[in-house]
Amino acid sequence: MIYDVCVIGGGAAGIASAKNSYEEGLKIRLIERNNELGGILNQCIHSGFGIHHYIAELTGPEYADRIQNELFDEIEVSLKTSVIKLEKQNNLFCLTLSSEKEGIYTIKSRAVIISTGSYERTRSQIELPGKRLKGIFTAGSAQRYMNQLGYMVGKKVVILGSGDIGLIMARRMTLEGAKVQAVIELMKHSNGLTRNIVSCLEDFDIPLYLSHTITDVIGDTCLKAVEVSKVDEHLKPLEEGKFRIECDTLLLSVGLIPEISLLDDFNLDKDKKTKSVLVNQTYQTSVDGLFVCGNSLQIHDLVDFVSKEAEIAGRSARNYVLNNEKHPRDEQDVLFDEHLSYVVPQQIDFSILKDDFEVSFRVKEKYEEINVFVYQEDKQIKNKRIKFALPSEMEKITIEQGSLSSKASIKIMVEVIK
Amino acid sequence: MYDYLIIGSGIVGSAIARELSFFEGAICLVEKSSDITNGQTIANSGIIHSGHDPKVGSLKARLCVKGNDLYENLALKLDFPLLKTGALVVAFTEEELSNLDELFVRARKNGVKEIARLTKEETLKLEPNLNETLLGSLSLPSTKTTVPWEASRAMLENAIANGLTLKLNHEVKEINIKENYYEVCFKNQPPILTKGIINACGLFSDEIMGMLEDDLIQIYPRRGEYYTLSHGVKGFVSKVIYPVPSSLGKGVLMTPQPDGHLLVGPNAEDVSNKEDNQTTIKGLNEIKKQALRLSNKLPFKENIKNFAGLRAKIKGDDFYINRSTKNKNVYHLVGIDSPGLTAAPAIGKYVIDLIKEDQALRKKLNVVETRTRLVPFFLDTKDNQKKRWLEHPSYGELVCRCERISKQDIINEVTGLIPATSIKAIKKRTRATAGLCQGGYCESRILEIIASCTNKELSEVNYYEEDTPILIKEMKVEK
Amino acid sequence: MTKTMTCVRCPIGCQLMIHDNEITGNRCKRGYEYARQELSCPKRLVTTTIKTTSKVNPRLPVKTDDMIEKKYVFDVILEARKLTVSPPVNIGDILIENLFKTGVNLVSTKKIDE
Repeated sequence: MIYDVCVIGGGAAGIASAKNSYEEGLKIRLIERNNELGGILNQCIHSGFGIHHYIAELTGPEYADRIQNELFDEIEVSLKTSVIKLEKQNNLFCLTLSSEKEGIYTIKSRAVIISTGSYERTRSQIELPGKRLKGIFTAGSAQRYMNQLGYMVGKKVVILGSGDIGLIMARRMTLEGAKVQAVIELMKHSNGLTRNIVSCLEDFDIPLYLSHTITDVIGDTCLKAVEVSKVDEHLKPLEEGKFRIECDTLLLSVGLIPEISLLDDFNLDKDKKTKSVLVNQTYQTSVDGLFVCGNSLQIHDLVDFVSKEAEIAGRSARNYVLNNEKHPRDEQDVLFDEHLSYVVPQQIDFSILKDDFEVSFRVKEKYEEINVFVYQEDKQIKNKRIKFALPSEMEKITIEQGSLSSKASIKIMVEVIK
Repeated sequence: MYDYLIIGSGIVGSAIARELSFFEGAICLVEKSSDITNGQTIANSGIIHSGHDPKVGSLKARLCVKGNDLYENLALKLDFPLLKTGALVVAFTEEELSNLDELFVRARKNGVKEIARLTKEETLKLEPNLNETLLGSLSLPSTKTTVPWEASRAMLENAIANGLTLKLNHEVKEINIKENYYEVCFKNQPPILTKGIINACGLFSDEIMGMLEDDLIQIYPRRGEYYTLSHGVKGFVSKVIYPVPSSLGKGVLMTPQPDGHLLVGPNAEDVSNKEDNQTTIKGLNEIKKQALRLSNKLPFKENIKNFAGLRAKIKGDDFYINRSTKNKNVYHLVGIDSPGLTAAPAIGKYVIDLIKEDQALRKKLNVVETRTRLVPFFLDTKDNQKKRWLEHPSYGELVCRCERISKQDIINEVTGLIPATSIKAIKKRTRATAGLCQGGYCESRILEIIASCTNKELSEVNYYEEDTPILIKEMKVEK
Repeated sequence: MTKTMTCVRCPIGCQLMIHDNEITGNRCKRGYEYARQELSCPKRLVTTTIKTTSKVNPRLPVKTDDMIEKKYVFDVILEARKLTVSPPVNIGDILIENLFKTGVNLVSTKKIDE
């Protein structure tokens, strides 16, 4: 049996894309390595999910439950199953799967959606020097230990990085009786959602040190303290004014990186900023039938946007399978100016442009008010005014299909008002 | 009462244990740490050097070349990874170029059979990623790389098969010299009585020596830091690349590892204490600077791990391997730094020869000389995978995604011949948590596996040594 | 005197300005209500986990089914610590009713079958 669409990864993106790739008669399989669907939502016990998608404020597990219930019974769900290898041979994808129940075996599929989420940036990737001490965790792994296994990881905590995961953990650990001494942030503005700064730090009087970083970890086998330094405008630590904070736990909340190692063998070009592969407006990669969505495509701040993106990827996979004839692509890059750090999708395929599509992007700096313009060959085809644009909050702009008058590249430009 | 007690489970202690296990007599090896090879053996480049560098006529030179010769056969017998990379010593200045000629002569005198001088063009053809400013190189085809703790483990497992008793968590506190034997006392463990002692204690061999002798040798720890570039950069260089050596040592190298990672380092910095094995911003920057001199294309962005190792340096810079002048049946090995890994198999035989000069050693009748390693499940052949999964379905569950380690692979290590019961021990054995995500996904799952196999609470499983539990306690349930 | 505060009712995080009891800066009604509430009687939603007897799901995520007075936040955590539940549990199952007589319940946010 050949599947029509196989979705690898059963988190928010996988569930939405599996659901939307389904149509009566199509064989869809959703593959998940854990013993339940939901991915990272299962350990995000806090609320704030679904405000856009369901107009409700849900906790992670509740959001996971709702989206799972929308899956059609006809979709085959494989839990506790990992994909070991992904290849393409003769127009079909070959997936090597492994599970305790079935051992190692291969299946074939016409299309594949990669929704394998992301992994946390590690200590080595930020070149934090010092010894290998017990007590240093990434914020997400500490979250799993606490929320899913029910164990405390420490009593006196310092958090590096003011990203959402770090902020949420600051609150979580405080509520469970730990003393969170400080949150240290390299940049001059915080990285997380504004609401989290308030409800996780201000509520508990946890100090936030902006423009600071950790330059050493102290201890013999267990962490005893961290050394904190101020940084200059080039983000290099200064020698003067170093200080120590006593702690037995250091949580690293220094960013997420898309998990796309399954695509290593395809040798695809990567976007240096998103750290993932390039896609067009249907979220298809340069490999026919191979789609990527969710955190494995770009790191999202809101799961609501993940669901939206995955819906489109799912529908695109379905269309790809239904329209059997292959037509040559007609792709142009999406260009952008120096105010943005990246855009997704990176390309528009004019040969399959039938719907309106969204371009997600992030600004490089904090702006109080900007005007975002979309040009095609000197003609302005769209503009959107955005207030309070932050690098930590993904923005989107919809491009109406009818507004494109030619097959030339579009360019996104920003006018800073304040 | 043992005939011999070997102190230290590093590559040297392991090699000696294996050789000694072929002879009659009760031998025991004690290791202070919670796992084997946690000292110098776990933090070095893994190079089996050709022998171009040590001083002519030194013990280092002799044992290095002899050891190098023994490795290929040993790796086959004991089934540990050995990558036959070959090496290039690369010169960038006229002075360095003439140093190459000196090295050539030195290598020849040391007994290195295969050496060749290569021109700039020949060098760049072999390694196009090196900087084009190079002037020439020395080719050393007999250089190889291995995974030191795997080689060590393999030797120990072979020794255990021949009757060696291995005791972990045994830190020597004092040694009482009795009439015809020694009483070796440990921290928190009952004492062991033995007729002979072999001190292969690495960084702390000077302290063990101090417990037994009057003439002392001091160890000066010299730290070396490393970058580990992920196996995504495999093929960047295929040979071990040395700069021309200086007075401080061999310099910052590029070393392709058997698992595909590329080690860049080490630097050399004298430190004041033996626990100072941390990485530093200064040290890492120094390595980058030196390494870029070899190749400015080095993809440091692919770094997945930094670590530091300490070398046990002594005055005179040659191996000290001698019997005690005062005590019967006591042998000290002090200052076994580079090329210690290379020399280890030869050191094993050298110590046997020393012992034979003092007393008769009878070869055992039925000796096992080989040992096989269980290949990680996902790297095995399709047929073997089918068989193994049918017998142990847990092989089918992937735990470490980055390094492809299955649940049963981990269970095998926790319950094996030399049990691995801490996260670090599992990492060493299986490479789980040593890949791209550094345990982000699998660490908690490994914890659960260790806890269930050893009947412990999750909060009792250690990260590293005793008293380093990862989790501090289960969240409170109030009455 | 103008007091500023960041609304936390949704991820936008409008910057609210309170001047002479007048609230501005909110993009929606909830922001206005939030400011009112914070000034008179600040409330929070509390999420935590409780112990279960299950081996597969050792912890059950829970929440207060409405915002509760800020002063009770740590008390809710302490009350939750007294509980141990056994599967099956459904989303919305009330685990503690009427916390501190506020009318707010502690409910399950996950369905666990085993």
